[in-house]
Amino acid sequence: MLRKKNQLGTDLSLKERIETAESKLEKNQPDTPTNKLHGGRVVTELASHCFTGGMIGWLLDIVFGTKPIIFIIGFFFGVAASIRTIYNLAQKQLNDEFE
Amino acid sequence: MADPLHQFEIKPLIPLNLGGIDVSFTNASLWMVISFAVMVLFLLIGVRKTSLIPGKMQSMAELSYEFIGGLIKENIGNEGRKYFPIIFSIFIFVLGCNLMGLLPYSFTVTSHIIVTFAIAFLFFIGITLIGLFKHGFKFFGLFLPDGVPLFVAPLMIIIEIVSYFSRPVSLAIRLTANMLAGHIILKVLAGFVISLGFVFGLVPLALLIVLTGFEFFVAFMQAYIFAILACVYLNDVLHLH
Repeated sequence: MLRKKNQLGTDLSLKERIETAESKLEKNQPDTPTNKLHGGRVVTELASHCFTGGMIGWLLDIVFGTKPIIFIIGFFFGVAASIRTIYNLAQKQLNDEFE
Repeated sequence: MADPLHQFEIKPLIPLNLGGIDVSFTNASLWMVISFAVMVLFLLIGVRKTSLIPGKMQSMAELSYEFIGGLIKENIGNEGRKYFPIIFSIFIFVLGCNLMGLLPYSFTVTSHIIVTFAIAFLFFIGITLIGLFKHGFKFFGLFLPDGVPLFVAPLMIIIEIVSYFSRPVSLAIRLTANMLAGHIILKVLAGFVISLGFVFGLVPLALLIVLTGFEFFVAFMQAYIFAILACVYLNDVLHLH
């Protein structure tokens, strides 16, 4: 077994064979998982931004004693932030595709 | 039918009370310790007898190392090399918890949002401090994107701050939601198998087997996504714009 492996190590054509195998692998590879999972990512971004905006507003409400006002404003800022993040994600994906 | 949410119940195993705070050793703590121990053992056995031609365990350990190494090189570049330990630890711990949660009668630690949020938030504090120490006052330029007209700048700053703070939340929600949903579906289908009896129960049983395989995929995938997003966020604070 060991002798066989040593023989392989000195085989000059092995390098070529590995290269052709790797190029074949690259051709067969589907899209990277991160590109495909953007749909799921968008949903969680939407939820988490609204939650975070609301939470920041709620904490500021406690500090200033203006109960629901900053919470509501913060929630809408969260919605705006989520739309901006999703826009950035979409733009990044488009840029990656055209590179 | 059995309660599909029963599996997420936290039961104290060793009740402890320190200064009015409940710090009991619960089943969640037990499974955290178990998954930590299993992953440490896996890596230790992998590097115990190192040889030029790796054995099965060694190549598995090396694969996980190279996987995260490649992830960091791809997303951060050479500068990210010194942050390898933290990304690798997070990946291995999350992966361990996800996989251990798939054992029968086990407890899925990562299905509790407080656990994932604690990991994500500690990482978030860490990267914020890294950014502050590296860039000083310039770090706050992260909150003002390039080419924003002056009259919308105050609005943009608030939006950017909200989206910066929502990073750990989205990390935590993504991992928790995936683990929670998967485990609830598995339990609901298992309940169908029991209630439909021997003949008709075979259909949900087949689905259950397929979904269990899928859950293994999800366990790997979510650990991978947690690690890759950690890399992306770290890259953002290391290279401002």
